[in-house]
Amino acid sequence: MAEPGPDGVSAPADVVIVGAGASGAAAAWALARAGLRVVVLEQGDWIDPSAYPQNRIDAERFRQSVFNRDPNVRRLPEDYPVDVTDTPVDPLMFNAVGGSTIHWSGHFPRFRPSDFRVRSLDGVGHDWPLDYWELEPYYEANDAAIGVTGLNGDPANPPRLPRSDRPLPLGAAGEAVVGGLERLGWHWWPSDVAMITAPRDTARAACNGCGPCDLGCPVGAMSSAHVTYLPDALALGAELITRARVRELTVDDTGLVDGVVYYDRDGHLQVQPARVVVLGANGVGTPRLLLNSVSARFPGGLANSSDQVGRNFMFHPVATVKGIFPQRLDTERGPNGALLHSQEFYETDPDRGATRGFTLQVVRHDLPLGLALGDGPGKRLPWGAAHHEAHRALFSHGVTVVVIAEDLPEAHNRVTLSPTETDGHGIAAPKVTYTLSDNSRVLLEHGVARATELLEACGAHTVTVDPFTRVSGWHLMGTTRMGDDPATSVVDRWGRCHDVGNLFVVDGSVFVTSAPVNPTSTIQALARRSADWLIEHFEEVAR
Amino acid sequence: MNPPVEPSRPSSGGHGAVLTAGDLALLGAVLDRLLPGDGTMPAAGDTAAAAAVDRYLAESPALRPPVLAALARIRVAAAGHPDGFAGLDGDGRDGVLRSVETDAPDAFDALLVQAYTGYYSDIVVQRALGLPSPLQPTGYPAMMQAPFDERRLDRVRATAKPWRTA
Ligand SMILES: Cc1cc2nc3c(=O)[nH]c(=O)nc-3n(C[C@H](O)[C@H](O)[C@H](O)COP(=O)(O)OP(=O)(O)OC[C@H]3O[C@@H](n4cnc5c(N)ncnc54)[C@H](O)[C@@H]3O)c2cc1C
Repeated sequence: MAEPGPDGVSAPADVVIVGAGASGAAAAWALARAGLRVVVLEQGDWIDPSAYPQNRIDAERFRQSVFNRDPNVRRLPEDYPVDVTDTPVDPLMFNAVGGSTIHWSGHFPRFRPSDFRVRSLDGVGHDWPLDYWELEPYYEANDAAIGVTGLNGDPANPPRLPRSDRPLPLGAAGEAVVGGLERLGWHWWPSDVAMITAPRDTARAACNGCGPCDLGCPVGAMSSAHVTYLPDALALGAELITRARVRELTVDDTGLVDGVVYYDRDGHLQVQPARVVVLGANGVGTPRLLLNSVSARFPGGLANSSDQVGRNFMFHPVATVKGIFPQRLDTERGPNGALLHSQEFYETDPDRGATRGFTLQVVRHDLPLGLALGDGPGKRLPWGAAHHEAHRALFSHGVTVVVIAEDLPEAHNRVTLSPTETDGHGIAAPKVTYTLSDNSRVLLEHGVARATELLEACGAHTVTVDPFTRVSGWHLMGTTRMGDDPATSVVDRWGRCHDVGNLFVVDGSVFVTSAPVNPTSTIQALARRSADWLIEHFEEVAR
Repeated sequence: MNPPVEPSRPSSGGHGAVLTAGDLALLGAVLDRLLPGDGTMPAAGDTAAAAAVDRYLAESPALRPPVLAALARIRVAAAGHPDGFAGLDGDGRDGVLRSVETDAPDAFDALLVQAYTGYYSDIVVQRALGLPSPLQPTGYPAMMQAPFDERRLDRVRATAKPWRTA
């Protein structure tokens, strides 16, 4: 990349972490607690709690602009565009202190033991180089640190400690859905949700059920990175530099990383030397950064001798099935993304004609404007005399079942650098290339059929289906996968790059397979585990 | 990211930030056909929706071309009447709107999105729907305090397939 000289060089850090989202914040806390000098670089800003849309009467409007989940819609200076010309799914993320946990629903299931052994059990994908039991203590520690509502005792999952907060009430919507699940005799359980139902400290109030968690949580009830790990990391001495966009990682003569180059808030180029670099920039941002870090020694991008950086990109393929009920369900009330889930179809069933499975995640419906606007042009509610009747039939009367299928790694699904798009600093944007596999398509078809059956059993009079939802790229995984073999993986079992011994990845990029559940409890557990290993081996691996 | 600006009530008359007095009058009449009142919900003209749309256009210049194009199209389509859109009866107004919806679907959709946004962002409308307006700091605390009845899980506890060992 053409080289204007840096405007400043900071004092070296023990560890530089790129990204202040779910993974970067968890690692920052653990490393700062161990006494390491940690500098976190985040391209976004803190969000002022008073700025959350729920404080305004026109809250929903901000879904169309600055609080949209899609960086290509927001187009804020802190966002980078994602080239989506070759993907049927839009990658979603938020770029701020807290990362995408600003926008998430906090649905917080764990992987099951079988998810780490899909090759051995089902002959597909790859086994992970670790198992559930190695990760279990980190799941527990992470849950306790951030606060998770729910109920232990689900026979379909390994035992876990009592949750820190009581489960969310079912409400009228939950009662209706449970009625159907009981009639069908399917598994269900109230979701573990990264959220608190009793106040935790002065900065975090209990959830008061205002509704649209995807617009951010103004009261700090959602256990997002900016109200959990980050403030604690800063109190332990970590330094956070906001509006710092990392352009590339630099290497020394021995092939170790010696720091990062970033643009500061004023657009000046800065150098931050480091003994160790940790990437928590998410499943799209991390491969982008590695591919942009080209040098004579690493012409194909950093840590990429295997040509695996950016490959095996997994979303969770999603179908959305909505049921409309004759009775009022109060679905505008309560956290919208996390009601309960069914894991009846989680494991492989040969009769389905596909391997692996799916989760049915039951979520509440929408607020009034979202319902009126529908799913886009041509799908708005009618205008004129028929409008209010159509709106009344939907508002507070709908439940959505989200089918989340397991995606399997495929080398051709990948993140590369866009030949055409750049961010506001002229840095090449990532390009996502993705094709839905036949296996995933069959899983979605089954999921749609089961979700429809469920909604009908619950008493829905109308069921509508989006068989493959475009705006659903919430989970970004697999692009620097973990493994024991440097020829087929980018990082080892500890998240340490095979090619560059003082470079770690702690975000969802390291996933080997995706499991049919939301990833962030596993991302944070892995980040904590990597951090613990790094603390113990710091002097061995640091330059 | 800057905190969004709190919406204002409509001005007592005259022009808006982007829309002329004529535009605002036309928009008000159009809104009443797009979102007429019924026994429960107010007509858009009885809310601050028109002023809100003007504000959205002021805040987001990219919205202006299609919305202004839609208003211009409506004017042209209603030009047959000496008093324009305002001079038409209800069916006539709806006919004009339908013709613009057919002939200029993108512009009409842009107008419709802003109309719905202004309407459902209005305090009168939200109160009619039973929402706390705004959602915070009130929320729905009573609903959140309801207990979860664990007996609902008895069947699952007794019969669910256990997790697959690996
Ligand atoms: C709408 C939505 C709903 C979701 N719901 C759920 C859910 O219910 N359950 C669940 O488990 N997961 C959910 N997720 C996913 C969850 O948010 C992510 O899995 C999680 O945040 C990933 O953590 P991360 O640290 O890998 O990345 P992120 O949280 O995305 O953080 C990455 C950070 O890195 C920064 N960054 C990137 N590149 C650079 C650079 N070059 N320089 C400086 N900074 C950089 C970004 O600005 C960002 O802040 C949801 C996501 C979205 C968008």
